[in-house]
Amino acid sequence: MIIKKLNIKSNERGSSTILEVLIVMGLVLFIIFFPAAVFSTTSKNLQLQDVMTLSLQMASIEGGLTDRVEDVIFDNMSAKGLIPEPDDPRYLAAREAVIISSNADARNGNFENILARDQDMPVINISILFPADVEVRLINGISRMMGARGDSLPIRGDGDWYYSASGYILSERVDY
Amino acid sequence: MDRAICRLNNKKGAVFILLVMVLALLFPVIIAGVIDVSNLYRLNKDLKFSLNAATKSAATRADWELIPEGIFLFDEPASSEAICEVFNSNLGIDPEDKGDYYEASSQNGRVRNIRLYYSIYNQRHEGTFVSIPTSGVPVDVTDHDVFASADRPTVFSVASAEYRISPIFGGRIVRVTQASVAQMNVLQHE
Repeated sequence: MIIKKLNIKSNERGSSTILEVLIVMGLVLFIIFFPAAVFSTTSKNLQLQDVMTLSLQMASIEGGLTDRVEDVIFDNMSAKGLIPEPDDPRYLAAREAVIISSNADARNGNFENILARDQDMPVINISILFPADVEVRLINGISRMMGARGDSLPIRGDGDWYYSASGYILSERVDY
Repeated sequence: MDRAICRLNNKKGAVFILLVMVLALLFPVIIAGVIDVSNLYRLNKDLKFSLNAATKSAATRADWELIPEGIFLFDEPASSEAICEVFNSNLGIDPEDKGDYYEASSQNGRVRNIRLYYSIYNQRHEGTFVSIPTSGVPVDVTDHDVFASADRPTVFSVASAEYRISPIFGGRIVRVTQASVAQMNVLQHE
């Protein structure tokens, strides 16, 4: 194939046409897929932001990050297609890859961390980290297609790159 | 160079060269467009979420000393502190007090000025409505006529952010504005 190409290349007529087609194909693919990859990344981050917004409102009512709030976060992620549905065998692995943290973490019965509205400034913070390796691999692949060597964004194992969403709200919980 | 000109003159192959040139010109436009649209959409959402959380938080600050007397009003200093604290934390800004409103300025990034105005209406007269804010929203925050009707303790807030679009599209400033309202409701037992 290469020899054939070289033969064509040595021939003045038509030689550059093949090269031009290859260059144009590479450029067209890059021009189409790179903005798509960038847009996909932004879109996924916005979806995660929506999940965080909903969970923060529920956390405000509950007074912190409870087990129920965590379940709602994963339900919303499933509904938005960020992780598989609960009956999918990949669900548990996908759930474990997501990192949720809070300053009022009341999961697993740690109710002493709950904040109530009559406290001085009961600010609840929730932060969600969601793996972004798929998108990073896509961007790396597209960059390599244009001649980049190695990974433009390095992946050093599972979960190196994350989408991040975090927010603050005051607790509404009434401590009876 | 002469070869390229010859190619352009030659009907065969000229299309590819032109296509490459057009694509090379189009690429920065497409990328700049995608980035601007994404940034503006994200800024709009961040502003709305931060304002909603801040306004709702301010509306939770009841005056606990009045509640035993059956009076449900805001603790105004606590509400003011809450709205600023939550809004600033969510956007990661440290604004200055400009009198009527708060402003966080930045001349480096695409997002230039973020401004926050709020009004706390702290009276209760159910069924008789008044428009708030009575003095209107400062034009530096928004030139839109934004108001709310209130007949009970209400927190009203408006936030705006200025975004400089890519130089390739002229680099002009676009202002994004959001408003939010939260009331203190009390269930009346008859």
